[in-house]
Parts: sequence; C-alpha cells; structure tokens
Amino acid sequence: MGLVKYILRRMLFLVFLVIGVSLIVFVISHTVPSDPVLANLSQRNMDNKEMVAAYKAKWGLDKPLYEQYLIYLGALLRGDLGTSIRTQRPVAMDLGQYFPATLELALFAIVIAVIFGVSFGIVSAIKRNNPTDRIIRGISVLGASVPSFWLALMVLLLFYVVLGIAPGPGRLSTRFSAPHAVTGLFVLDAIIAGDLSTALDAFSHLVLPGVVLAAFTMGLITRTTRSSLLEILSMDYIRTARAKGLADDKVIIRHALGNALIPVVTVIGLGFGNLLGGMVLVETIFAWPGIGRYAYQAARNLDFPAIIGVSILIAINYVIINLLVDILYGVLDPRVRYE
Amino acid sequence: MRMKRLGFAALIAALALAASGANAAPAKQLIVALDPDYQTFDPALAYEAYAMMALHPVYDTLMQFDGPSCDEPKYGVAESHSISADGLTYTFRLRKGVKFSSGNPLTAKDAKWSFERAINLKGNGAFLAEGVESVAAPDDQMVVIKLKSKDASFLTKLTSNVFMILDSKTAQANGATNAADAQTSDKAKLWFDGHSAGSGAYVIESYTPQVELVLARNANYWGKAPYYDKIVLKSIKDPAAQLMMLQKKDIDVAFNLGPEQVKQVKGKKDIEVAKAQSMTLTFMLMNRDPQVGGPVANVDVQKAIRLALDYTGIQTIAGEGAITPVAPFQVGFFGTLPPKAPKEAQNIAKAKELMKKAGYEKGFKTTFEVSTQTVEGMDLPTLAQKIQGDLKQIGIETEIKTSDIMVALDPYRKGKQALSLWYWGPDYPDPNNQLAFLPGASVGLRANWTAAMNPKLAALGDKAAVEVDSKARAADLKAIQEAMDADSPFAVLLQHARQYAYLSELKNAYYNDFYKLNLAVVAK
Repeated sequence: MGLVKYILRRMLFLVFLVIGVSLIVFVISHTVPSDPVLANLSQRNMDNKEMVAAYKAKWGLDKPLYEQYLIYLGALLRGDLGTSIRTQRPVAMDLGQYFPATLELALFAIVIAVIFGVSFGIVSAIKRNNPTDRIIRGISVLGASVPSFWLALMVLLLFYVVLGIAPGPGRLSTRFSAPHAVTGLFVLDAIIAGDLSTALDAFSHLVLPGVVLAAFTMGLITRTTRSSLLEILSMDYIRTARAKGLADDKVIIRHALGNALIPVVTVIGLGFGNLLGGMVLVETIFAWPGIGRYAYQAARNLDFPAIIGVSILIAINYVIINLLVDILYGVLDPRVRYE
Repeated sequence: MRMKRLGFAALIAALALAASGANAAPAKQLIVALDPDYQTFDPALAYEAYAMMALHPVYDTLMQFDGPSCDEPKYGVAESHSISADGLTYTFRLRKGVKFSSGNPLTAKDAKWSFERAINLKGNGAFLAEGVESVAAPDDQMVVIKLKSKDASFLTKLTSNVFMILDSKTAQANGATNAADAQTSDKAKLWFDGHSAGSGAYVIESYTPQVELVLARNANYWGKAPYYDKIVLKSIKDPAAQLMMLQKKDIDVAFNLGPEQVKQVKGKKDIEVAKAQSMTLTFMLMNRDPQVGGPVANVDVQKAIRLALDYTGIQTIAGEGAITPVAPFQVGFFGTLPPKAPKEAQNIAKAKELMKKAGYEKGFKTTFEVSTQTVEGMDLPTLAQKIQGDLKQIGIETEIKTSDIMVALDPYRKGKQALSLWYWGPDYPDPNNQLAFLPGASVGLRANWTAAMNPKLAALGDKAAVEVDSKARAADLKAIQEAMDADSPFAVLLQHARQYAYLSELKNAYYNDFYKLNLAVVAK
C-alpha cells in the first residue's frame, strides 16, 4: 500500500513539475537577445510592417509576456502543447513523431550498456589489478571519453563501408517502408504487424548507433559497478561468507552483487534519462529522426512552444525514471520504505 | 554453450542478411540524399531553399526554367503571353489538355484561385506577389494579371512556388481557401504536407519529417512521362554519411558534399562529381554611419579594405569553383558582368595610400561580427580569420565577435554592425532581387547607405527595376555594377560553387540553382 501511495504522490508532483518547467523555460527562452519573428520570418517580410504585425498576431507574440504565458499554460493544462512556430504542426504531433525514434534507440543502447557495463564491472572487481582489470578499465575510460561523433563516423566507415556487415544511416533500409505506427518503435511495430524482415532490418539499424550511444554510459556503469563491488567485497559479512567456505561465485552473486548494484541503478537511471534527451551529433551522423535534432532546431529558431514541449517531455522522463529507480532500490534492498 | 554460440551466429547472419538486402533497391527509384530545410509543401507557404526542389516536379507554373540556366524563364503551362503597352497587364494563354493528378482539368480559374490564396495566406514568399493588383480568368484558358507598377522581373517571379497552380477543387475539399482572411481560415497546411494537388509529373506520396519525402509518378500527367516511378528525398544531414551511402550505392545522389568529401570521391569509379555555380554570395558589410562604423564608415577606408583582401586565398577557403563577382550581382543572372580576376583585385600599396588619405595611416581597431554559420560548406568564422590577417596588412586590427545567426541577425537588420561578414541567397533568380543592395534599399540600409548618399545610383536602381526592354535593362545593370565596384559599403567576397556527386549511370542530374536538381528529368 505504501508503494502505491508513493507512486500516486510522485505522479501528483508531475503536475507541479510541468508547470514549473514551463515557467522556467518560458522565462529563460524569452531572455535570449533575439526575436522569434526575426528567426522565422523571411528578410523580405521583415521589411513589411503589415506582415510583421500579422505574424505577431497569429502567434500571439504581440501580447505582453505574462499574457502569452497564461494563454500557454491554460492550453497546457487542457493537454494542448500548442503549435510549433517553425514546423507549424502541433507540438504534440512532432513529439509523437520524434520521441519514439529516440526511445527505441535509447532502450537498445541502455540494454547494451547495462549488460556489458555490469559484466565488465564484476570481472574487473574480481580480477582487481591484474591485466584483465586494466584492459577493462582502459575500455571504460575510452568509452566514456571518446567523442561520440568520431566513434559514430568510425564505426560507420568500418562496419558499413569497409566490411559491409552493417546497414547505413537511417531507421530502415530504402527497400523497406515504415511499419504501421502502433508504438512508433519500428522493431516492435513490425513484429506486431507480423513482418519479420522489416523487424530484423529495423533491429540491424539500431546496432551501430546503439553501440556508439552505449559506449559512454557503459564506461560509467563499469566503473561504478567495479568500485561499488570492491567496497562491498571488503565488508565483514562477505569475509564471514567466505570463512563459511562459500565458493567465490556464490559469494558475489548471492551476497555482494545485490548491495553493490544500488549505486549502479542510479547511474543507469541517469544514463537512460540522458539518452532519452536525444543525442544531436549521433542522430545527425546516423540520420536518426530523434528528439535531439528537433530540440536543437527548435532552440535555434526560438520556437517557444516546441522548446517548452521538449523540456516538459524530458522532465517527465526523468521523473518516471527516478520513480523506477526508487522502486528498484526497494527490490534490491528490502529495508527501503516508501513513505 | 555450443547451442548458445550457434544461436548468436544465426542472429549475426540474419542481421547481415537484412543489412545486405538493403542494397537491392527496387527498379526505377531515384534516391537523393540531402540536408533539406523545407518546413512545408504547401506551395503558398513554402519558402526554404530546398522547397522548390521538392515542389517543382509536383506543381506547374505559368513560366519555368529549362536546363541549368536561370537567366530566362520559358513557358510552363502557359503557351503564349502578351504585355500591355504600359507594362502593367500580363495576359497568358494556357496550354490545352493540362490535367491535375485528380483528373480535373487545369483552368484559368485554378490559376486565379491559387494566386489569390498565396497572396492572402501571407506566407514568407508572399512578397513575390506584392506587386499584383488583380488576377482575372475571362475564360478557361486565359489568365490576366494586373500589376500595381511595372516590374522587369515579373516573368521570373512567376516561376516561383507562390505562383504554382493548384487544383482548386481538391485543395478546397481539404480546407484551403483563397478568402481575404486565409491567413487564419485556411486549414490545409497539414494536408499539403503529406498530399498534393498539382499537375506535375509526380505527386507527393508521403512525408516523414527528418526522414524522407516520397514522390510517386502522376498517372494523369499531361506531359512526357518521367523515367522514375518514385523519387525519394532522404534527409541525411551529415555530408560524410551522404558520401558513405553513395559509395555503397544505397543512394543515387549525394547533394551536400563539402570540399573534403569531394576530394575523397573524385576519380572514383562509377561516381560523377558535378560542379556548378551557386547563386549564394558571401560579402562584407562596412557601415556608412560614423556613429556605428567609426573609422570604417570612411569611404576611402572602405575602398582600402576592398583592395587589401586576398581574393585568391578567400576562393581557396570556399573551395573549387568559387568566383569573385564585381558587385553583389550573381554571375548567371541576366546582365551580370564577368567575375573579377582575383589576383588583380588586390592592391596593398594602393590600399595603404587610401588609408593615409583617410587619415588612418597608422590604422585603427574595430570589431568584426560573424555568425557561426556554414555557407555552401564553408565555415564563416574561418573566413573571418583569413580576412583578419588580410586587414592587418593595412593596419586594421579586427576583433572577431562570433555569435549564433539568430542573435547576429537583429543588429544586422537594424544597421548596427560596424564591420560584419554575411551571406545572401536570392529569393528569386533575377537581378532585381539584388537591387536590395543599392543605397536606400533594404540591404543598403543595413550599412546605413541611404539614397541621399548616392541619389544617382538609387535612381538608376529604380529605373532598372521596371525597365522591360532587355537592352536598356542590361545597360542599366552594367552601370549599377560598375558604380558599386567603384564605391559601395560592401566587399563582395565570393559567389560560391556547389559540388555534389551522383552515380555515373544517371543522366540529366544537372544543377539549376533555383530547382537545385530538376528531378522530373533525371533518368538512367
């Protein structure tokens, strides 16, 4: 019961968060020394006062700032994110289009990062200070420090151009068309439609960008797992377990790993939230139609409704991820109580 | 364990199979990779540089360009025209038998409705129709357009997307209107972004922003059937990715290659590199208002700056094929003078003399404003550094101030920059477009170059704008360019080149700056 109440309370908090985020982003984006009219109207139309006035009236830019915000907030509370000044499409429609692409890639990347990050971290802790540990630490430092755009270009060049074993940029090969949108995740939608070849093609397109995005988070997870596990392994209860004659793998899996994973879960949560915010450079190189490039374009064009829409989406992502992380804490450590 | 390994191997094999299958594109499909800027495919609202590339194969206009040149518009769906003696009334006779993709016949009423809609929608390109007083359709084949004042560029303006002819019945059925309040009452924009109502060789099949635009053959096309069944314009922003996809033959055309990619692909088997003249200019603005420009506002200093620049080095930075026009008029437009010889345009000794004459023998310090923009593959801040070095030779110390274009645009448009680096892409391919650089005109005023500062040149510009006799117009334009070469607050640095690459088996993949690629004529 405590958990349900806890979840409900956090969900209620979302409403205040959305209002807060919208206000902060609204204020910040209006302090930029530029003008959305200038950013979106052609030079010729800028010279025509009538056109400028009509444009301002159309987008409500002729009203005082507080009024603009109140109008926006009113619509927001009714679930309307407004219309993008740049794309002239409803912001919700734009987010609905770009976010699933980011979500699909982020899910793939985080799974790769967790599998390899945790495994590497465990091996590294067990083999502390021997060559395997050094190699893994080297890989994790490299993963966390190599610029993602460089890695993206290199893996494309090697696996797509030279070796020809991976597909090129995009979510699908040119001979496939997008599956009927149910979730917006191409692999899942293709499976739902029973189209295995499209699902496989979509999956194969996830591999390279997914690995590039996973590299950074994987590095962090490896390091956190290693240090956390080392700390646990030096504790008295582990020594006791070993003194009882338990095998090393049993000590680690049954007694140490659960406790060691608590800080790792936090890092995974943060890493996933980061991935869901979109990765402009990787999206650009892999021609991935994700939320990162949309947000970048919105910011460049001072497209306020889109900027606020993306910010709210990212804030909600973090709240949900944090909630999941908190629930996972309880699973990993029964002493955690939700109050 | 062995089973697990086998399973993993099978997965890898399946993935490789799926990946390799990607190369087998269906027959008669043209795939172009580009970094598009289009926001909409509503002809009345579209304004971006790549919009014409997508819309030209879909919609017809009264006038259009054939082949790579943009210097003289030819007939589109018009078969003849006449201009009244006062130059204010244009009468067009339409071709017979032109049909929209819906099967509806294209009539003069559709043209009238479409033009009125574009005017009333007040989109970014609506200024092209500002001079139109009225449009009439006395019969199904005749369109009569009355202008408010004479306009030498009107036939060229008719080639643009705001004058595209829409199937008015289909458009209205999907929420479009030509009413005076169309800006608020027209609800067809979203429909136009995924559908079309034109009479061109292709129809819009689907559009997925940031992914692709798919054009399909128009079964009811009235003209010669195009070669390809489908054209896919893929949004691939990164030039390196475009190049890789071309090398793997996953695409037919890589449209946005930078100088680096061009070097890599040159001489490669099966790949053709095309070089064409872009109509984009890069120029330096030198303010004429002493309160803003300080010493830069001095006419002799401005002349000295132009003489101090190393145009050969500047062209090298821009890449092969870049040229230096005499004035802000693009080579390739009607009446433009041949470009300067870059070496002869630099004269440091004379520049130093002019600095001395202006009273700045010892030089001065000034700010040099640049936006962090890439123009036709060339980085503006990099060019600014080159210019900084050039100006140092005559004692001018510049402090480069970079900012995002959205921040830099405001002081530029308000005429508050002393010295700055800018670029200019024409709104329509006609020299009238460039008259904006004259004293008292919109770009001239950004340098605070008022008509009173050079009334003779301003008057010459007004005359050229309405001169319909081509001989007299060419003479006016020549005089304007010569006058601007002698004295203006602009240093025209570059007219850029456009380089792209395509599979050698393609025919007619020529560049036309207005349409970029004329997609309907590309064949194998």
